[in-house]
Amino acid sequence: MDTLPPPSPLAPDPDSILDREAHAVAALGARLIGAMDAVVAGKHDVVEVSVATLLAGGHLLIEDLPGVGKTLLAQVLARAVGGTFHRIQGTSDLLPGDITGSMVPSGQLDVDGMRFRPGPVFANIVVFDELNRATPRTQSALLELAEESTVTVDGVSHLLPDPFMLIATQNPIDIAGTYGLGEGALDRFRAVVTPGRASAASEVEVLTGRRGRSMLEAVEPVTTLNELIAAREVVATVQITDAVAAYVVELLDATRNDPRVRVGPSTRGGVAIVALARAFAALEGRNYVTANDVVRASVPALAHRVAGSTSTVAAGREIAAECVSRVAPPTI
Amino acid sequence: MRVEGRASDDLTVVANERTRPLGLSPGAGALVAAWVVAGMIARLTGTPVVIALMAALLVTGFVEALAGWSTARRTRVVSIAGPPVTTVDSSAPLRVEVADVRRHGRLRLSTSPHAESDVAVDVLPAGASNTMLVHAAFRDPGSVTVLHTTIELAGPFGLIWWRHRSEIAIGEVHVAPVGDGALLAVTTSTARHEGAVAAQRGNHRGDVDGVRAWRDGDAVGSIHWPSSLRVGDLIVHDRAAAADERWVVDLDGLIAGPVDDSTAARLRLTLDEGLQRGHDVAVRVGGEPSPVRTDDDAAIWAAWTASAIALDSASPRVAWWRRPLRFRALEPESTVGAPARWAAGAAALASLVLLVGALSRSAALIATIAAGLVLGVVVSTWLGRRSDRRPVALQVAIVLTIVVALVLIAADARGIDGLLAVLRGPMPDLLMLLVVLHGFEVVDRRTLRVHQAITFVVASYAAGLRIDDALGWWIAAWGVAFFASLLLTGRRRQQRVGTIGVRPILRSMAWVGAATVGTLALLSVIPVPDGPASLGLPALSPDDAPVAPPGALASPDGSTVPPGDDVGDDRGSIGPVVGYPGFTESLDTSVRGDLGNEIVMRVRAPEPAFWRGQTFSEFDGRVWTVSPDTGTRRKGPTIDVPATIGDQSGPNVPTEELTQTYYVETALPNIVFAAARPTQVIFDGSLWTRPDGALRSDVVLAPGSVYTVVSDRVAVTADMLRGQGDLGEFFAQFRDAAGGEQIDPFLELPDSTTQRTIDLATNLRAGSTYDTILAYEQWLGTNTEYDLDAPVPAGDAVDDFLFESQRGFCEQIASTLTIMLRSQGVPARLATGYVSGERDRVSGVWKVRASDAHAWVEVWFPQTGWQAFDPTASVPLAGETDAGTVGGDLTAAAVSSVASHRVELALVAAAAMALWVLSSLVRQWRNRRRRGRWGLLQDRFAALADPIPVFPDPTPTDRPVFPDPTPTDRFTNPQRAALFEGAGAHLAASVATTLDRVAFDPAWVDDDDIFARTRSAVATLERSAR
Repeated sequence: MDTLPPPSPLAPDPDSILDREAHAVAALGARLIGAMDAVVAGKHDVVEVSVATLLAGGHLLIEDLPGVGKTLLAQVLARAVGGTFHRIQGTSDLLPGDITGSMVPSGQLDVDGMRFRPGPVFANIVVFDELNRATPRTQSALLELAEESTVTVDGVSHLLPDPFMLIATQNPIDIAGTYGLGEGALDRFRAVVTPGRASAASEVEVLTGRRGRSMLEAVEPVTTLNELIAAREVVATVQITDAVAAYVVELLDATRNDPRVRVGPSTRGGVAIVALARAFAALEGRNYVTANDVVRASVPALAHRVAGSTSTVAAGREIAAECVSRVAPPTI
Repeated sequence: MRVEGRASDDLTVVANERTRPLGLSPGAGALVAAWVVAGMIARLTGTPVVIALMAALLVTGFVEALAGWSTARRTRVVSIAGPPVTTVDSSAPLRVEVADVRRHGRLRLSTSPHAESDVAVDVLPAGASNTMLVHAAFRDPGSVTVLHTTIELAGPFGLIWWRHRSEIAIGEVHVAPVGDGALLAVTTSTARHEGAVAAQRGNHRGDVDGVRAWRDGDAVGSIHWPSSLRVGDLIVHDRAAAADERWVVDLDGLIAGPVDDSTAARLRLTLDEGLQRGHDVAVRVGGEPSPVRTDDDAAIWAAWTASAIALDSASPRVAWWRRPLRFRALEPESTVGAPARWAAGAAALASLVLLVGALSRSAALIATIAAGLVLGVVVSTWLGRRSDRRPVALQVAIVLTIVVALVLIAADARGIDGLLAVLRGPMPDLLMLLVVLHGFEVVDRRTLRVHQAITFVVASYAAGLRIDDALGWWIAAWGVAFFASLLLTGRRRQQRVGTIGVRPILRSMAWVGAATVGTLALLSVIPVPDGPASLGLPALSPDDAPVAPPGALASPDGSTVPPGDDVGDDRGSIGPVVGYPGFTESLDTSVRGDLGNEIVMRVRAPEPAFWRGQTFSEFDGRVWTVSPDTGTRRKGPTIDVPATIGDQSGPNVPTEELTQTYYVETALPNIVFAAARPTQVIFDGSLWTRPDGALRSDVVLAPGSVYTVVSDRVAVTADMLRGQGDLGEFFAQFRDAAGGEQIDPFLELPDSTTQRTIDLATNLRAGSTYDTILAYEQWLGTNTEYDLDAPVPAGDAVDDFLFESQRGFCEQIASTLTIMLRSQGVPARLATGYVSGERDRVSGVWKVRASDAHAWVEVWFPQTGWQAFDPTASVPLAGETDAGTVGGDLTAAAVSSVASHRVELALVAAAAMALWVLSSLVRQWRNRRRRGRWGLLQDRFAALADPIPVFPDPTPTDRPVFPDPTPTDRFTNPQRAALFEGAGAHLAASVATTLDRVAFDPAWVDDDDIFARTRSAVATLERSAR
C-alpha cells in the first residue's frame, strides 16, 4: 500500500465497549506471561496455555522429554503467582498419606490425641514431578483431591487453599517402571502442554545463564492471591454464544469420529475447551469467546483426551489439530 | 532395514500409466436406448429434425468421452507417503498428493492391479492440486513398495467414466499380520550384559524398577514384602537373570521349513512376547542374528516373513474372465441438484407440449401436464433431499396408476385400425401419463437420466408426428432444457468455493463451439432422409360419407357436379372446388379461379414433385374434359395401383421409390393426389383407380385426412430423354402396329386448331422431341407473358394465346404446349394438381397452398413413360434432383427463421437477459438477507485470505507427519488477518477484531459508523491484494 491507513480506524474505544474487568485480567495475564517468558526461553505458546489454565481454574499436565524445562515451567509459574508452593517427586513407594498428610501423635498421645499434619498438597501451587512413577493408588488419591479441593483424613475434611493448582509432569519415553495414567485420570487435567526442545537461540540464552533456572531466583510475584481469585471469577463470566458452543460440540464429534481415536473425549473435554477459551478471551481483554479462542484452546484441551492411555500426547496433539482443521469455524 | 519411523516420500516413481474407458454412469444406458429408439422414429417418419437431435446427442457423447479422456489422462497422483509400519486391516494414514484434478472423481489404491486388492477408496475432490489424507487398510501382510493407483473420472456430463492407472513407488510399507496363534520355538540363552540394560528395552508395562510382578517359577525368597503388601499382589525383586534371557528366532529355518498363513502372525506374537517379558530378542537371518528392539521391529520382521512366504507360494494369477463379476456404482454420489431437476422438468414439459401439439389436443391438457410435472419436480426434489430412496407408497401408487391406465386403454381400444391410429391414440396418452408419473420418482441420478432419455424419446416421437411450423421453436426450447439438464446432472451439488477464472469459461466455451461445429459437420454429410419407410405409412380419413354416384368427382362439401354444367364466361364463378377449375370434371382454360393462400395440405416427402390430381386428354379448343371411365374400385387400406397406359418404362431404366404422406388441412374434393407414378396407396377407405392414371376416393378428403402414396419414379435425365429421338416417327410406326390405336386420345387435335399453330410447331422442331419441347418452351418464354388477368379468348384458346393476346396463365400455356406436341404426332396430355410447395426444413414437410394449384403437360416417352413438362415453372427432372443434407436444410431454416423473426428473437433475448439480471439481483438480495450486511463483509474478508492452502514442505522429521490441507473456510478471522503483511496487517487485524465482535459479542450493538469504516478498510485490503 502506498499510504498508511489512519491508525486503527476501526478500533473501538476501550472504555466504552470492552469490559474493564476483562481488561484487568488481560493486564494480569500479560504480567504473568512476561514474568514467565523472562525465564522460560522460547516457549511463549506453552506459557500462554499455562497461564490460561491457571486463570481457568484447571490443572495442567506437562509431558515431554527430560531436560526441556518441565519442572522449571511449573516452578516459575508458582513463583510468579506468589502464594505457597510445594513440589512432590513421584516414586513408586510414595503413598497417598505422604501427599495428603496424615494423623500424627500430638504431644502426649493419651492427652492430646492425634492431630492432622497437612501434607505437601496444602499449597497454592503444587508441582508433582513424574506423576506416572507414582502408583495408581497415589495417583488416584492426588487427582481426587485435586478435583474436589478437599482432603479427607480420618473422617475429617480439610479444605485445600484457594487458589489451588496442580501441575503434573511426566516423561513419555522413559517408561520402565511407571504406571501410565488411565483415561479417567487424564480427563482431570484441563490442559496438556508439550514444551518441546528449545530453539538454538534460546538454548544459547539458557547456557549463558541469561535465562533458565539461574533466573528463577529473580522472579518476583507479579500478583496477589486475591487478585488471582478475582481474575478467575471474571474469566468464569466471559460470555459464549450458542454458535461457538455448537462449534465446540462439532470439534468433539470430529475427534470422536476419527478412526485413530479409540475413546473420544468426554463432555468434560468440551467443558475444558470452553473454560480455556474463556481464559484466552480474557487474556485478550475480551468478555466474549470467539471461534479463534476455541481453536487455540482445543488442541491443549483435547490432546491427552484424544491420545488416551495408549498413545503419546504428541500424537494426540497431531490428531486433535487435524480434527480442528477439518471443522469450519462459525462466522457471522 | 530401516526401523525408525519416517515418512517414505523420497522414492516416488510413477510407471505404467494407462487410461482406459471404465463404463457408463447409471442411467446412461437409457440415453443410448433413447438414441436407438429415435433412430427408429427417424427411419419411420423421415423427419430431419429427429436426425439432428440424434446427431447432437451423438456429438454430446463424443465430447463427453473426449473431455473425460483428456481429464483422466491429465489427472495424476504425484506421490504417496505412508507410515513405515502398519498392521493388517488397521487404518494406516497415507498422504496422497494429486495434481490437476479438474473434476470430481474417485481415487482407488490397491496393492495389485485388481479391484479385490483395494486398500483404500476415496472421493477425489476437484481442485487444481491437492494433498489428501487417505486411510488405507492393507488386507495382506507383506512389504509393499508399489501401490497401484486408479483415478476414475467422468466427462463434463458425468456419463462416460475413464480409469487412469499408474504405479507409484512408496518406499517400503511393512504390513504386519496381527500377532496371533501359538509361540514359535525360540533358542533361549543367557545374555552377558546386566539386567538393568535389558530392562530398559521393550515394553515393561507392569514392571517396576528393581521389583516386578510375580511370575511362575520365581523363588519365594525373592518376594519383596513391603511392595506386595502395599499393592496387594505378589511383588518380587527383579532378578538380572530373568531380564537378561535372550530369545533368538531362527528365521532361515522358519522359512525353509513347513510354513502356513499363520507363521508370520506367530512370529510377531513371539517377538512381541519376548519384548514384553523384557528379554533380549533377536532373529537369525542369513546366519547372523539381528536384534529386535521395539515392537515396530517385530512388526517389520513379521511383514518381511509374510512376503518371503508369499513369494514361495505365490498363487497363480486368475484370468480376468474367471474372476467374479462385480458391479459397483461408478458415481461417488447419486444426489441430484435442484437446477438439474428443474431443467429436466422443463425438457419434459417441452417434449409433452410438442406431443400435445402434434395431436392437436386442448390447452387444458397442457396446463394439466405442466401442473403434474411441476408437482413431480417439487415432490421428487423434496424426497431427494430427505434420502435417495423412493418411498414404497409412491412406487405402489405409480404402478397402480399405470396398470389402471393400461386397463382403461385396453378396454377403449377398438381393434387396431392402422399404425397411425395407435400412434395417435392410446400410445401418446400412455406416454404422457408415464412421463408425468415418472417425474415423481426422480430422486437420484440414475432415474434422472432415465427421465431425460424418456423426454428424448417423446420429443423425437412428437417431432415425427408433428408437421406444423412451431416444431422448430419447441424443439429448440426442448434442446436447451435437455442439454442443460444433462450437463447439470453431471455436476456436483456443491461446487468448489472460490472464484471462477476466465480460463475454465473459455475452455468450456471452446468445447461448446467445437460440439456445435461437430454436430453441423456431421449433419452436413447426412442426406435428407428418404421419406417415411414403408413400416410407418399412415392413413386416416375422418369422413366416411361416400360420394353419391360411385366414382364421381365430388366437391369438398360432398356434392357431385354434373360435368360441363356450370362453365360460364364469368371468371372465378367456378369456386367450389378450392377455387380451382382443374379439380372439376371439365377444365375451362379461360378460368383461373379464385385461389387463396391458405395451406391446403402438407406433404411429407424427401424430394419435390408434382402432386398430381387429374389428367385430361379430351380438348375442344377451350375446355378439357375428364374421361368418363371411372376405372376399378379397390378396397383399402393397402391398395396396389395398376399401371395405366404409358406408365410402363423400359428395361434398364433406373427408378426410385418416392414415399409421400399427405396431411390434408382444408376440405378437398375426393381427388387423391399422388406423385407420378403411384404404385401403392395406403388409404383408409376405397379408391377408384382410373385408367387415365388419376385416383379418386369414395369419400371427400376432409381436414385431418392422412394417406400415403408410394410412387415409382423414373430417375430420368435429359440425356435419357434426348436419346429417345423424335417421338413423332416412333409413334407413327407404333400406331400402325396392332393395338396402336389406344394412343389416339393423346394425339387428337380439336377441330378449332388453326393451321398457323401447326405451322409454328412444325417450324420450331429441333431434332429430338426433348429438344423440340425445350425449343417450344423457349419460344413461349420469349414471345408470351404470364398474366393472370389475360383476356377471355374469343375462339380457339391456343390460337388466341399464341398469336392474339400472347398473354395467359398456366392452363393456357400448358394447353398450348400439349396441342403443339400433338400436332407433331407426340402423345401428350394435360395434368392438374399442385406443385411441390414450400419446404419446411425442420419437419421436412412440403407446405402446399391453394395458390400452388397448377396445370402442366405430360408427354409420353416410350422408354421412360409419361414425363411432366412445365412450361410455366421449372421443376427439375427426377434423375437430376440433388437431395440436400439435413445440416444444410436446418442451417437454412435457422437463418430464415432468425431473419423473419428478428424482433421476436430480440425480445426473447432481451427478456432472457432481463430474467438473468433479475435472478442475479434476487440472488444477491436473498444472499444479503440471509447473510446480512456484516455477513457479506465477512465473506469478502474471507475471500481475501490466500485461496490456495500452502502446505508445509514434507521434509523428513522424527515421526511421520501428515499435514492436512486447511481450506480457507477453516480459518478464523485472526488467522486470516495473520496472512497479511506490512501495513495491511494492522488493518486486517482491526477488521478481524470487529468482525469477531459482531459475530460473537452478545453485547454488540450494530453501528453504521463502524460498519462504514470496516467496509472501507476491507475495500482498502482488497485494493492492496490486487
